[in-house]
Amino acid sequence: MGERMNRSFRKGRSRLGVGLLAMALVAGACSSGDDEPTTAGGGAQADQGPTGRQELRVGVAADPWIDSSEGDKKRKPNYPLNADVCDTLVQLAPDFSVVPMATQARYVGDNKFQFTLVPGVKFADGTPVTATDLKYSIDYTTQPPAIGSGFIGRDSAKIIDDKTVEVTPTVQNLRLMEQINHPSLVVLKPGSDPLNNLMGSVCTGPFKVERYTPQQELVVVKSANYWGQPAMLDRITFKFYPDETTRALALQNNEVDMIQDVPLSILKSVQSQPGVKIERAPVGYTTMFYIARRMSNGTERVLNDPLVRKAVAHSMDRNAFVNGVLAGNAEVIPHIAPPAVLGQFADQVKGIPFNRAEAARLLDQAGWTRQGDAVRTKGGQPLRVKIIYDRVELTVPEFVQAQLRAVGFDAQIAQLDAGAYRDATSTGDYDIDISVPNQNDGNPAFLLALRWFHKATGANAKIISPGPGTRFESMIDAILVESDPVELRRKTADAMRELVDVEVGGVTLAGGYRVYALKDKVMGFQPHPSSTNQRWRTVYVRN
Amino acid sequence: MTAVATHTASAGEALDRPDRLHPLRQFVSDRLAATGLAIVVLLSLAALFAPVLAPYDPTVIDPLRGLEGSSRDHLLGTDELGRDVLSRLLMGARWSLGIAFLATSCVMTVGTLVGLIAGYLGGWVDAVVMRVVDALLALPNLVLYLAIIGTLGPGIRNVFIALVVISWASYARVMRGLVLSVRERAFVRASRSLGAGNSRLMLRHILPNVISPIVVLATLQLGGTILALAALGFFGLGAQPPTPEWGTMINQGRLFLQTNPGLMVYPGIAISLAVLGFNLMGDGLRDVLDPQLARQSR
Amino acid sequence: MMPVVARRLLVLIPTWLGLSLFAFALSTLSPGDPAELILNRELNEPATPEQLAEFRERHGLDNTFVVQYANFVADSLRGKFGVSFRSGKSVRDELWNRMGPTLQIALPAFATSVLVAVAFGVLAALRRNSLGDHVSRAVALIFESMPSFALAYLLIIVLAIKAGWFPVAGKGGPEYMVLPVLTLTLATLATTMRLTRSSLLDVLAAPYIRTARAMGVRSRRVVLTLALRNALIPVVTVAGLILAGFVTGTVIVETVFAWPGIGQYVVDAVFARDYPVVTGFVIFTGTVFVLVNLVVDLLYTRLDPRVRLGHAGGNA
Repeated sequence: MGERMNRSFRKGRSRLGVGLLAMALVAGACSSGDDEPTTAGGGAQADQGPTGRQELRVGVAADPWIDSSEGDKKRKPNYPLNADVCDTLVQLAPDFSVVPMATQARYVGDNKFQFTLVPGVKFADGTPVTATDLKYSIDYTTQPPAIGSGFIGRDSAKIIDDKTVEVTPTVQNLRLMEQINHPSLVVLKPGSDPLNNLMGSVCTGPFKVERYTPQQELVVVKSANYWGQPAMLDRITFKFYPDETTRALALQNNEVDMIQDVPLSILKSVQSQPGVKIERAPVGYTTMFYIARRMSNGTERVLNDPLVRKAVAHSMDRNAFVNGVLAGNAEVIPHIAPPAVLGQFADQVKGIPFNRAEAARLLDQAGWTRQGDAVRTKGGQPLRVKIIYDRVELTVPEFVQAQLRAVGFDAQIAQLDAGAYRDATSTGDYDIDISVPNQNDGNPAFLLALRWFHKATGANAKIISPGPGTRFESMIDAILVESDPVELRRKTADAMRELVDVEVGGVTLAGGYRVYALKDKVMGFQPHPSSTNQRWRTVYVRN
Repeated sequence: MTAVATHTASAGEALDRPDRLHPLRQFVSDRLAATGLAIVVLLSLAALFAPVLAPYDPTVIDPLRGLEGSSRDHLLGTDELGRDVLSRLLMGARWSLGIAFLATSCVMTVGTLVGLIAGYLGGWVDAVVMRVVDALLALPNLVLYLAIIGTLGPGIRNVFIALVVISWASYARVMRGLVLSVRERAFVRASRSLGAGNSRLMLRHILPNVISPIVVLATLQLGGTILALAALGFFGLGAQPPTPEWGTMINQGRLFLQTNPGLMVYPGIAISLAVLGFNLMGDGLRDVLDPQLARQSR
Repeated sequence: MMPVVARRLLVLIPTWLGLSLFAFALSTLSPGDPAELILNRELNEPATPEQLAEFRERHGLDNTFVVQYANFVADSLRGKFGVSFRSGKSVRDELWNRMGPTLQIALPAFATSVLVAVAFGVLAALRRNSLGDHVSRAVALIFESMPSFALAYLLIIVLAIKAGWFPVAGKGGPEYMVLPVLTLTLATLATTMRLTRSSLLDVLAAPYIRTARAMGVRSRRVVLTLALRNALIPVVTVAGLILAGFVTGTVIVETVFAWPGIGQYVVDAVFARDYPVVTGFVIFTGTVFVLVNLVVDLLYTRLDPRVRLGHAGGNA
């Protein structure tokens, strides 16, 4: 009797199950892809969007404006954390091309760039934006503490007409367009001064600041007067968590709905949380190290020998790094900038493959010999290198150290605080400097020209550059005066190949994805490879 | 401060001593001390023979086998670079216990000598030394450690310097108090009247009588030193990579709190065990001592 | 009484001077030229030699060691601890602002620790050698042997992650305070508990208690009150020292729980080579400690009849 009941009960349940399954399949077929809303109407139209209170809480790293320079404080709330409160003149698309934002831009020759306002742009208080406002915004970046980008000087901005300004950089700078999308320069209403009066500053973006509590949170709310497509969210709260573990736990404990830039060390644990999905942007930064050849006073360092430099490159097992240390959240690439900036010329750069035997051979050839597993010596001196690092976990320098020790280097890690690190990079008291340079503008040669160009102003250019009179140097000279974007990419690819394959000015360990962890209910998020260009206007919450 | 405070507690606890009504009590108390001794001996042996006992070289990495749990190959799993946790724990014992023993001996020697001289000579020497001691004891320990190492840079030598500079004061204070109480005792006065010189008196008559509480203090200090080393490692100022060290292991392990809590838990247990062992031993030693001597240091 | 106070105060002066010398030595030992550090930060570019010289003159950095030290002492006594390298604000203001959050967790932790420790200590002494006695002593000993950051993470794993009762870290309402306070309490429990227990045992064995019992003072409570009052004397003195040590003891707890108190601030300052802050903190806590010591000493002198009546004992 009981058994018969059981069977019929089970049959009933299985019918229900099939029915549910069928419905689920149908529903699945109707929606297409993760980012589409499941409500009727589709698309990101505001009036058809999700209902209910749209609030998002985002866990980010430490408050970047707490101990930062005055200059960085002028960039609240757009950089380093971009809360989508202000528009830039032009913006960086995810493929690193430059597209209009508040203005349309064009190069009119003779080192002059014109920016014309897109119709309808207005401030969060409803007033329309004019060229005078643009000039104020540009001039704001040149007044002390200056936060200039692209060599814009105090008199660079000139009003052409009611909707157009013309910018002439103080030196010839054909890369202005690619650089000016940096959120240092945003459209501000005259009188705005984010450094001293954040709440009184008015921008043109889809959100506006509701409150900022240092070290705790930044809260922005939807701007009713936004000139473009309104944002979906009503309020975003950015909560500051300096400690990554705490940030990950905050997601698990529902203190936040998503976390930005998931530290790779906790990625596995975050990935295994139920109700959490991981979204990645394409390669937006590289984990790499610079190689110092000489100190700023001219003293040669051990890695000035090209054979030894090549041996260093050959001893890095990048596959183990990407798949082991970074758990597959990066790519093995030879480029020292995200390959997307080189466009179709990206595969010009080959890189130096992992090959311990070759590394050993090169070191022997250079005169550094060893007995068994001991440290290599030459003329009684041990082969010693000093590793410094910035913005990476200790795991990365330990990885590099272990790889170098395996081929006979005596590699020491110097754990320096911010001040000591700055000192070391300016005096050249290091051999290997591990860093994670970000590609935050559209200039493919940005990093090459900034770091390895001998004529660049930074102190460390003297330390790591191939030097005056080299082929690399002349390649950069040519790049700086190139006006055609396609030629620019081609020439940069050539220069990068020269730097990576021949000169070995630096070694890339991995091309990193930007990783975000979101609760399943957070939809519409479009991760941007450049975190400073991350926008929040398409995000909504499925309650 | 802790060492001095617990030392003053000794008088009451000494009343737990062989009480004919509770032979059980003595056994238990002895057993605790014996446990402490056993722990310390075991850890010391592990540290001594670590290179032999460790199944892997603790500095060799294998990133593709990172963050694995316990397995037959790796009894306690691997860390984020694929290094064997057990091997790192064993080699870490060398650092922690090695430095602790060395530093504590130095501290003990310096502090004892200073306290001995101050207590014996009295007068303005005593006054000056005690003011210096008081001043040192008033300063915040951890912040000073960090500041000194932050200034001098990490590494064995500087850790050593910081530990010795900061810890000798409490020894000096206790020793001086003891010396004061012993100085006026009959046998000392007798020796002096017989013409014995200062240093002879200090070394051959006074010192042997006051050495036991110092030994107790030293044992407890060992535990404190291990904790201080761990704290330094936690702040990244301890042993330098790739030398394994328990505090550093906890610091790096906290990133993997959720998937591999063992990376934090195992070194945490190691530290706690070591400190516990020394504390138990110290307690037991104190029970064995003559409580009169302990009482007089109050 | 007055001469005792006066004498103690007199002794305080050289102690404080020694402490100020240590603190001052700390800032002079630190590498880097303060003139360069501050000016480069303010100007956002390297300072010229003229600017550096002017700065040094203005801040008295070109005086001799002794003169600088004298100025330092004079300034410290007036509460002027200089200016932070990083923020340019007065060190005293910065430290003061962060004092609040630290006290928010230090005071409840101290109160809880003392209350619980005394309670357990009394129980342990009264039920000497019982299972409860041994268990509580063992537990306290274990907590005392754990490094505080390990204890903190243990509590986080058990109470915040597995049980989900409390948030992991950060500053906020009462629920954010629980774990930091708990960590601090547990870490300091053992010392106070042990002291209470042994002190009470000591007193209970004293002749006057035995006499009271022999004379038929039956009530356990009366004996307890009498004994407890005397037993608590050393506890009170140590408690005072523990409180003074609490403020620095919060360093690790604040770091782990991201609690924006004075401990975390000073650690950041150490790593950022912001030496005026570190020196200011060292002098400040040192002074507090010395003062607390004085108060405790005087209290002890007042409370302990043996000392008052001139018998042997008491700190020399």
